Formats: sequence, structure tokens, C-alpha cells
Amino acid sequence: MAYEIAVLTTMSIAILFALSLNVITGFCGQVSLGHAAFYGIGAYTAALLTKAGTPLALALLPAAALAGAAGFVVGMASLRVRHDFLAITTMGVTFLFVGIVRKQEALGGEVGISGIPSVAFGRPGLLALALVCTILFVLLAVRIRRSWMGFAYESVADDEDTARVLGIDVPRYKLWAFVIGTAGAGVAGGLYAHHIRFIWPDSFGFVESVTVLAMVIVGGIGSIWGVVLAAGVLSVLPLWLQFVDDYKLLVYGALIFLTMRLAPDGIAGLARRLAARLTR
Amino acid sequence: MTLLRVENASVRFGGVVAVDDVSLDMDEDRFLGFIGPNGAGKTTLMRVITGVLRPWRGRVIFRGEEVTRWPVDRRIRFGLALAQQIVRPLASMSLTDNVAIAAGVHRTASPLAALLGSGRGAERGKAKELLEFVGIGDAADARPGELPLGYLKRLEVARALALEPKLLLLDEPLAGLNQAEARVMADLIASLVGNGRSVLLIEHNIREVARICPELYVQDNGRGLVRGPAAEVMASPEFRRAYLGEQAA
Repeated sequence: MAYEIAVLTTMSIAILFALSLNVITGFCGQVSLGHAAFYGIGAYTAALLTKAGTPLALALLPAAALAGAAGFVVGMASLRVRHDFLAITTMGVTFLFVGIVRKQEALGGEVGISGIPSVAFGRPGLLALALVCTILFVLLAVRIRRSWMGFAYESVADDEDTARVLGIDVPRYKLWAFVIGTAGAGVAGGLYAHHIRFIWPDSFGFVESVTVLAMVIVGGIGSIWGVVLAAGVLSVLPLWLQFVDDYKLLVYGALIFLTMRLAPDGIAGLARRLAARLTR
Repeated sequence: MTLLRVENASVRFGGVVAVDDVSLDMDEDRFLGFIGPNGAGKTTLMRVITGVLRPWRGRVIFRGEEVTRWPVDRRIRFGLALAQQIVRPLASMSLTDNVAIAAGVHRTASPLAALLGSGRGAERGKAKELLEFVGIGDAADARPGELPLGYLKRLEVARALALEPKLLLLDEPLAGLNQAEARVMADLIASLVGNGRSVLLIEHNIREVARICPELYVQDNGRGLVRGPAAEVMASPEFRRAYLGEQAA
């Protein structure tokens, strides 16, 4: 039973993490190669707080707030750069995060933070908390998609100059996408820290950013259920296949390449086309 | 009452002066044809009015507010609309949704309020009416990529109308249309003026402009040349010089 709980917790955290990137990259159309940095900010914040005696459920709030604040700052940068340049800028954010954390004694430096306390009710308690957070975020994503906010995001992702001519305040919408997405990543990071109970700078490096981007791209950029499915499957692959764990960057890089080349709209797009063919 | 006033606007691109100390004003419920040869700075002045470009010098006043430093989207929400010369449809959406998102301009003004609002029925209904009005109701469910230019030009107009503007800026809405299409479009444009709506029309098709616009403004080499009733302007030496060269005047 303990193994199943651990697997489900891993999946739940990955789904939350991927959905949070999906708000930025999927809904709003802003490619981010630095999402792991916000995951890291949440993980470090929550770990330090629970080590000081705060219950995890409470520690997740400042984790979300700090990650969201950092996301706001990076979002400001996104107002100035677009497309490929934004991808490069956000890639820099990952390296910046790892570079800074490595040198901070208070954050454990190179060796990281170990002995992160277990949460109330142990592993099942953590799973329950992760599921609650993930379900809440799924509901938020569905709400955004169906609301006028989601409609506005569609226009921004399509062509931001045209969106402006239609009266959409593009900068404000982008900043909200970054804040919501990075705050979600902060919560996922806080949960991750208490799942593994040991974090160090490399847990939040470029590989993690590419991994989460692969989940979003394979699932179908912008599709909620596609990303849930892809994140669920891709997060447990390394547990089942040693090969995937050993060659993470290779496997996820290849998945991104193959999806973009063969089915740019991912699993969700494939399913949509299949359904269209069957109903015709 | 003055709806729009451009005061002494100048725009420079590097060393080139595209618009040189131009002033222009427009009252409510007016229809002004804005003409001039290629390179006259017409689109540049239009961009100063919409806010895509900030003038190097000068001011823009719209509905009594100085909007010179306002971003494009804020001016749009304040009652300006633009149909662009080069069509820019949202390729991922149907024509109906392209217009519906414009019709919902007050629902998307604030992201948080937009998050609380759902239901696009009313805006889609209005979008369908506008698509019918501009004569492309048959393509309401199509994607822009499947349609010819004549449809997309009219989509630009439908989308601009959905914003319910006080001032509608049309940048060469007839370009690329054949003679029959241009005539239909010109009549449509003429029918938009009034009920609190003014139209500023940039156009190269002098024949249609002269037919529908009561008033003309001519610009050349970034300077305003002449403005007045259409017949007088067409007969003026400035107009002839701009279009036919020195000898003709």
C-alpha cells in the first residue's frame, strides 16, 4: 500500500506542476523554460517553514506567495521579450535560481536540506493534501478556460497585437498568467519537498524545467485533460523504467521533439482528430 | 463637440520625418476621408491616433481626455476601434468568436472580473448579427484561414463595430477588393456614420472616397495639405499637386 500511495503522490504533484505551467504556456502562450525555479522556491520555502514547526498545509501559502511574487517579476520581463527570446530569458531563471541557492548557507548550499519533517497522518496525509491541491487547481484551470479570462487568453496566445486592438489589456493578462502559474508551481514544490523529504539545488534545475514542459507539450498545449494524462504517465515512467530515469533529458527531449514534429497539438489533438474521424 | 484632436504631432523614424507637425480634429457623427499618395504618412498618423506609435512631439486628445501616453487597449476600451489595412484575424477562432471577443470588450477589461464571468451567448448572438450586417454571415462558423481576403476585410470591420466605438478608424478597407466588392463595402462604410459614431477612412480608391465622403483631408510627405468639403478639395491645386505632380497644378 505504501508504494501505491507514493506513486499516486508523485503523479498528483506532477499533474499540479504541469497544469501550473499550462496556464502560462498553454492558456497564455508564453513559453517558459524556467518553471522548475518556482517549484524550487516553493519547495525551499515550505521545507524551511515546516522544519521550524509550521504545519505543511499552512506553509504552502507562503510557498505559493513567494513563488507567485517571483513569477510576477519574471512576468514583467515577459512584457518586453517574446517567443524565442522569452524562452531564453526564462531558461536563465532556472540557472539563476540554482546558482543563487547553491551559495546560500541558510538554504543548505550544495548539500541542500535534509530531514524535512513528515506531515500529519504521514504518507496518506500528504497524498490527501496533494490531491486536494491538485483538484482545486484543476477546477481553477477549468474555470479559467470557460470564463472570459480564458477567452481573452486565447486571443493573447493567438496574436497579442490583435488582442490589444480588441481592447484586451495584454500585459495585465500575462502577469496574471505568470502569477497564477508560478504560485501553483510553488504549491507543487512544497508538496514535493515533503514527499522526497530531501531537496538540493539540482532538484530544480534545467532538467526539471524540460521535464514539465514535455508533460505540457505531449499532453497538448492548453488542454487540461491532455496535460493531466501526460503528467500522470510521464511522472511514473522513471519509477517503472530504470532507463527513463537514467536518460531523463534524452527521453523528455526526444518526446518534445517527436510531439512537435508529428503532432504539435499533443495527445489532446490526436484524440480530437480521431474523434472527428469516427463521428464523420 | 470635438471628438478627436491631434495637436502638432510629429513622428520620426531615424532621420525620416513620417509625420511633420500635423494637426487634425474631428467632431462627433462625422465622416472624414483621409487621402494622400503612398508614403504620405497616413498609416503613421493613424497609428499615432490608436497608440501603436507615440508621437515624438504633439498630443492626441480623444473625448476630452489627453490619451497621448495611453496604451492601445485602453484607447480601444475608451471608444476607439480600428480595422487594419493588413488583416489580422485570430486564426485559432471561428469568425463568430473573432467578433464575439470584441463584443465582450467590457467583460475582458479586468482579468479578475473576466474570471468571474462566463457565458458567451449574448456576445456570440451580437457577433452573428454583425457578420450578417457586413455580409459574411454564411461564414460565421468558418476559420479565417479558409476564407478569401474579401471576407477577412469585412471581418475586420465587423470586429471593429463590435467594440461599439465612438470613432472608427478604417485603414484601406477597400484595398484588395474588386470593383463590385469595393462599391458594396464603400456603401456599407457610409451607412456606419451617425448615432454617435464618427468614421475616419484612409483609402487609396479615390473614386469611392469621393463618392461616399462628404469631407476630405489630404496629406502628403507627412504634412497636412488641405481639408474641406470633398468637391472643393478635389478641385484644389494642393490635391492636384499631391496626386499629379507640380505641372498639373
